Amino acid sequence: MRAPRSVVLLFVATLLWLPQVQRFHHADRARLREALTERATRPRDVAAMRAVNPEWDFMRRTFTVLALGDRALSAPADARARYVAAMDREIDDVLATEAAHGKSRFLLGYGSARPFVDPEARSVFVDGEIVMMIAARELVAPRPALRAEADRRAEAIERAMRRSPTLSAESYPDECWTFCNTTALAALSMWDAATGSDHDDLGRAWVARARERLLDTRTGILVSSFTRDGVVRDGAEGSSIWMSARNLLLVDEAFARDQYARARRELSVTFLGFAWAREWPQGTPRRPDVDSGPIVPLLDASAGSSAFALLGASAFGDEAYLDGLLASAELAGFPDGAGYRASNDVGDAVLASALTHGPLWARARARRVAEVAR
Amino acid sequence: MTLRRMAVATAGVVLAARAALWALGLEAHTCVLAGMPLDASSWVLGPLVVAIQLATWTVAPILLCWAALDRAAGILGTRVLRRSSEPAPRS
Repeated sequence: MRAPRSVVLLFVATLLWLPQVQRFHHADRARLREALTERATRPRDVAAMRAVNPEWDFMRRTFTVLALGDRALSAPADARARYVAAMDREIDDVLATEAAHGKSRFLLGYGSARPFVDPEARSVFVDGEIVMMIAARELVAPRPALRAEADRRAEAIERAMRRSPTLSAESYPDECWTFCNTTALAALSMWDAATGSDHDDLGRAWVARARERLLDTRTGILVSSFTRDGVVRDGAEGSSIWMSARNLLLVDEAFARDQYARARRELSVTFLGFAWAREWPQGTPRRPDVDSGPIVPLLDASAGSSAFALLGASAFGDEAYLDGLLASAELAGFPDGAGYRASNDVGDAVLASALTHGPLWARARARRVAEVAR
Repeated sequence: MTLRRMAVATAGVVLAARAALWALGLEAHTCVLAGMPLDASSWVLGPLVVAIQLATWTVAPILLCWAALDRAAGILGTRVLRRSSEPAPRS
């Protein structure tokens, strides 16, 4: 039986056209890097963002400081001061905001609904990212006025982690997040590189404990959240693992690469030059929430996971995946010259950090290597 | 209406819809993808804008490409038929 000519030609037309689509959606990384770093320092609508999730108001600052730090380290000496000044504005503002409004300012409402299990009752989400911001600033250029603040928080993080049966501190009452704990470990590593302090032992112990208790049994990916005693609440999730793998590069590179490879295998999707990321491995029950963002039907694409996948792809030098993710952003993110309309302030900052990633992590690792050699 | 004309018309409708989205500034509603709708209508308009954008880059060009191929095949087919029906030249 012969197929009708129309059907054959439709098939040919599809084969001819679809592979060409990605050629029209190539992101100009240099322009985006510059534009997004600028935009991230001027959030468009903080009130609207806080109404959805106050954590985003905080995380925007962290990723903006990291992007500015990376830009400062790669910029000519005469341009560095501008980036450093912008880092200082962000850090001073976050410290002043926390001082004025209390330590729950950047937490979701249930953060103060019941007591923390740890006696110091601090959120490692807040402390970890503040130490990371100050450490980034210190790695670019010393600012002695902030050292006591970072030291105080670093010591609190270490105490809370060592007291915990999982060696993980709480972000919310009896709720530990891998994202936050690996961020705290990376922040301590950066702080060590900047100041000569030493938290290597804590990092090694955390990774050993995580290998025992925090890996998803099917995929081997670090679970996303768990109680302080280690009861899993959320399994492997894209909104957690891409960032966690990037953080772990400063703690245990082999483990970090293994986690990235697993995430890539279980969560990434590539198709005709485009790429995106799923929030959950296939076959896992879906529970869309504020972290995953809306899930695109049929494609199973998650905005949250795809944004953080950019961080992972950039940190691990996965150029093909990074190109694919950016092509998808160009196609479905609606570029507006300085970023994407389909993004928000925290998304802009995450993308800025992804596209600038490199110099800060390299400096942190180089100083650590030099210290170990001594 | 021939199949080819229907294909071209469909592609035209998709392209016109895309142009209308741009002219009306409806692309701003795609921020719903990041979990931040402009207003309640974003939950409908955001996905609709994305669907039309995807159709603009896939369905419309494929239909136009198919129409062009179909037209070319039609012309070639007519010529071949005409030649095959012509009497063989006398030697």
